[in-house]
Amino acid sequence: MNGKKNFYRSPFEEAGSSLEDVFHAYQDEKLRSLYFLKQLKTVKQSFGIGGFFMNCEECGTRPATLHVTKIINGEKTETHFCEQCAKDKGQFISGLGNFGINNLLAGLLNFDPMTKGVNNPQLQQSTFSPATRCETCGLTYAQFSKSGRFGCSDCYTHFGEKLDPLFRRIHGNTHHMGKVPERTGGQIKVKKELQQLKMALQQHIATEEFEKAAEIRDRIRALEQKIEQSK
Amino acid sequence: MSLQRFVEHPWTHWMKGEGPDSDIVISTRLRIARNLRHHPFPLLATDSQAEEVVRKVEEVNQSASMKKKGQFELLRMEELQPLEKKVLVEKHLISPNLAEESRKGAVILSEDEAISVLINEEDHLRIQVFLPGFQLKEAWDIGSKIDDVFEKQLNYAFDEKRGYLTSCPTNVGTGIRSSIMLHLPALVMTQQINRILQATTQVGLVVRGLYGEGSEAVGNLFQLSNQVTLGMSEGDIITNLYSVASQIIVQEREAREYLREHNQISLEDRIYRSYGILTHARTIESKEAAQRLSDVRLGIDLGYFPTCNPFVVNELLVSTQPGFLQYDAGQKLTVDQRDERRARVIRERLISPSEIS
Repeated sequence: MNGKKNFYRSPFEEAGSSLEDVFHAYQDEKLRSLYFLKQLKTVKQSFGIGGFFMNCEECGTRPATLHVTKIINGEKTETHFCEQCAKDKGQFISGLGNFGINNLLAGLLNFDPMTKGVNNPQLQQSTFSPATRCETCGLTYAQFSKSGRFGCSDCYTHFGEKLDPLFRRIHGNTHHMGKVPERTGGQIKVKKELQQLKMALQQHIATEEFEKAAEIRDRIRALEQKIEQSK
Repeated sequence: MSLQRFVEHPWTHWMKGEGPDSDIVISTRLRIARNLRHHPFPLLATDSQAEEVVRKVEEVNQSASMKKKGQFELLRMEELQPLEKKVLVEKHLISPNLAEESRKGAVILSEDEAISVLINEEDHLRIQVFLPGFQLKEAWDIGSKIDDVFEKQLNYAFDEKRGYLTSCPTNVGTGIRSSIMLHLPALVMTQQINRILQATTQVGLVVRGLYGEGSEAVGNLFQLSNQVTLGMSEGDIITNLYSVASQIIVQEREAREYLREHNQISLEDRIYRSYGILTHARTIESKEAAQRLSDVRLGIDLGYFPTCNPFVVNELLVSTQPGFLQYDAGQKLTVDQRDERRARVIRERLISPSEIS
């Protein structure tokens, strides 16, 4: 995947279940809609993929003639191979059903700033132990990196910090900043409020608004007491 | 209220043709992904585990707090005919994935079809709100309230650090995907669309075709949605999309004005020519229909067809889709038969546009 994100959804999307479907949909599209070819080309170039008539992603030398577009749940991936490499990678033809965002994710999962460029398999092993397993549903890290889907909500806990690079790649972030459940998120809600208050406090101190700062300090104390009591 | 109602009429809430900026923003869609703690995600769940989720969700659906939100009905995918499912997909009430690939998949639909809750799609719950026009914040407010009703009675999978946990890592955090459907004929005609699409991809937004999940951009309709779900609040995600979309709307209006001033004759010719074809053709392919309907819609927005309602064009977007044509015919149709029927439906609808069923 060359570590490149392709946000653009091409107009060639056709929900095909077999390679043939997707390929033919693509071919039809190519003939019918020159306008979109142009459009796709421009967008691709903006991502440095090298225009529409690109080289094979596998060997990088022969021109790509096989373009596979797979959409799973609105998440689309595109890959481009030359005939030779497509044949060599037989699984892309026979097991197309498994080919999709998971491959993109697999690329992201194997991207770790710590190990990138280090050709030391042992080091890679230690950072990425594919045998790590979710104790609840039994999904291994290796399986996850293949399917790109978690098995249950506990996978997040069991894979833990290992997921940080992945989330950073996808979202540019690792921490949730949004809504907290009303009923079950009670404590978390208070904590988040506390965080926000502390930030506000710093701001007021910086701008020398000490009266406001004092007000916020009192609210922080009250909240901290509340947390203490509920422990 | 019954299944019949949902599948017989092409019109649905989002296509009303009203709401802010509805000359350019056809509709606003927002979906919220949620999962239940202690239940494997649908992809890994056994049939009985998946059934358990449907049962729990249905319990909430029958509860008093849900009743307060309006009338809702649960439809199970396994009890629907393939064509019925196709119609629901074409109306955007369910996703193609739920229709075809889910096990024990179901949907809860509100009476006005503005809210649909997909059960056992990729996530246990996907709360979807569909509104006409440009109403991102309104959609989030409605969706969030429905979310609260479910949260009161179900144990959500939520993590302090990661937020709402989802099957796919691309949805984790807020779990929201907000999108708007934009009609941008003038930006396409003035060839500015490339530049604009490029810019949107660079600010973390995604552009795709009308039928989001795996579709192409036909009829100058583009769907714009957020990509990032983690590390931003729902408000920020929505504001981000809102401000980018507002810019595009301004650009489209300017492009329309430009065309009107500098290319009036060719613009009018294009619009009236398409109108002529749509009102007289005896057979028409879906792609041509979509393009011609786009021209007519632009004509309506520019005031060329005072008797024509934008609602009619929105409705035709759905009623000329293969699934709906076949459901309406009561049988499977060949491509040629569909093209013929499509031409007739459009003709009849455009010639007598005033009656809204």
